[in-house]
Amino acid sequence: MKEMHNKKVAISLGILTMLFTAGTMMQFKTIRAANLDGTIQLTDRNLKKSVLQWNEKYQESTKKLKDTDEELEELKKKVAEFHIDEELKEKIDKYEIILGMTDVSGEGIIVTVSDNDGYNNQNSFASINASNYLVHDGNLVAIVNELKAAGAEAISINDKRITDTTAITCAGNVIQVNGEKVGSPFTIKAIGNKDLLYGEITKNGGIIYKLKRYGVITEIKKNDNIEISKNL
Amino acid sequence: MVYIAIILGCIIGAFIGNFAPMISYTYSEYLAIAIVAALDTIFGGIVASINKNFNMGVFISGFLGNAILSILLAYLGSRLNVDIYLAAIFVFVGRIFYNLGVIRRYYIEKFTSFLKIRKEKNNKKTQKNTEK
Repeated sequence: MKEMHNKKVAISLGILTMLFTAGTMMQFKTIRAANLDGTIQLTDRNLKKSVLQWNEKYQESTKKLKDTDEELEELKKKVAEFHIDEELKEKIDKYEIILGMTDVSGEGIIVTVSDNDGYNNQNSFASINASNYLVHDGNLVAIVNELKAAGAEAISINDKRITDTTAITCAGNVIQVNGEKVGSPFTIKAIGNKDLLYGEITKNGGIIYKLKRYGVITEIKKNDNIEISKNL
Repeated sequence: MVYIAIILGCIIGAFIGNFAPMISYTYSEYLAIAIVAALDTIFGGIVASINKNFNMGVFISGFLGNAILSILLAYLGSRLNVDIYLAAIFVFVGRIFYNLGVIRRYYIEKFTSFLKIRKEKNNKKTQKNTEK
C-alpha cells in the first residue's frame, strides 16, 4: 500500500518536472531566437516611455503657446481701446502681415507646380536629364521672388507661410520650408492684386515659362478669396 | 524513488522541449510565469512526500490554479501597465525558498542521526574489545 502511494507521488512529480523542463527549453529557444538577453525589451520599453513623455511635453508647450497668443490678442485689444491712433494701428497691421503673425485673406492667385512623373517627350531637350522635369528648391525660390516683386502681401507654400526669414532648401527628394518637409505638388498661394500677380507670373521668360518648357506641370488660377494662415 | 522520477522527467522534458515548436515572443512572458509556478509546485510536492501527506488532488489543482491565476494577473498587469506578475513571482520564489529550507532541515537531521548511530555502534565495538 505504501509502495503504491510512493509510486504515485514519483510519477506525478516526474510528469510535472517533465512539463517544467519542456517549458523551460521552449522559453530558452524563444529568447535565443529573439536574439536578446532582455536588453532590447528594456530599451523598447524605455523608447516607448520617452516618446510618450515627449508627446506630453509637446502638447503642453503647444497649449502654453496658444494661451500666450490669446493673452497677447487681448492685450492688443486693450491697447487699441486706449490709443485710437489709426496710423499706428495700420502700421502694426502691415508689419504683422509681413512677419506672418496674423491670418490674411483676400484676392490673389494660386500657383500649382508638380513633378512630371510620366514625362517622355523625346523631342524635348529636357528628356536628356530627368532632373529637368522635377521641381527644385531654386524654382520655388524664384517663384516666391517673382510673386514678391509683383507686390504679393502674403505667400504660402503648401500652407507654410513664407516670411522674410524663411529658408527654402533641398532635402533629398523633398523640399524643406522653414525646416518642415513639403513634397510635390506644391501649392503656392499669394495674396495681392490678382491681375498684377497673374501678369507677372505668366510673363514670357519668367520662371513658370521656363518650368513649362522643362516639362514641369504648372497651373495658375486667379481667386477672389484666398486665406493664408499665420506662421506657427 | 521520487528523485529518480524527477531526473527522468528532466531528461524526457528536455528532449520534448528541444523538438517542440517555438512559441511567439508575446506569449513567452506568460510561459515564464507558468514555469515558475511549476517549479514552486515541484518543491511543494517534494516537501509533501517528505511529510507523507501528499494528496494528488491538492497537487494538481495547486499547479493548475497557481499557473492560471498568475497568467491572468500578468495579463491584467499588461493591460493596466502595472507589473503585477512580479507579485506572483515574489510569492512563488518565497515559497520555493521556504520549501527548500524544510527539505534541507529534513536531510540534515537524517544525516546527523545516522552519524550518531554509527558512533554508538563504534563505541559498543570498542567496549567489547576492551572487555576482551
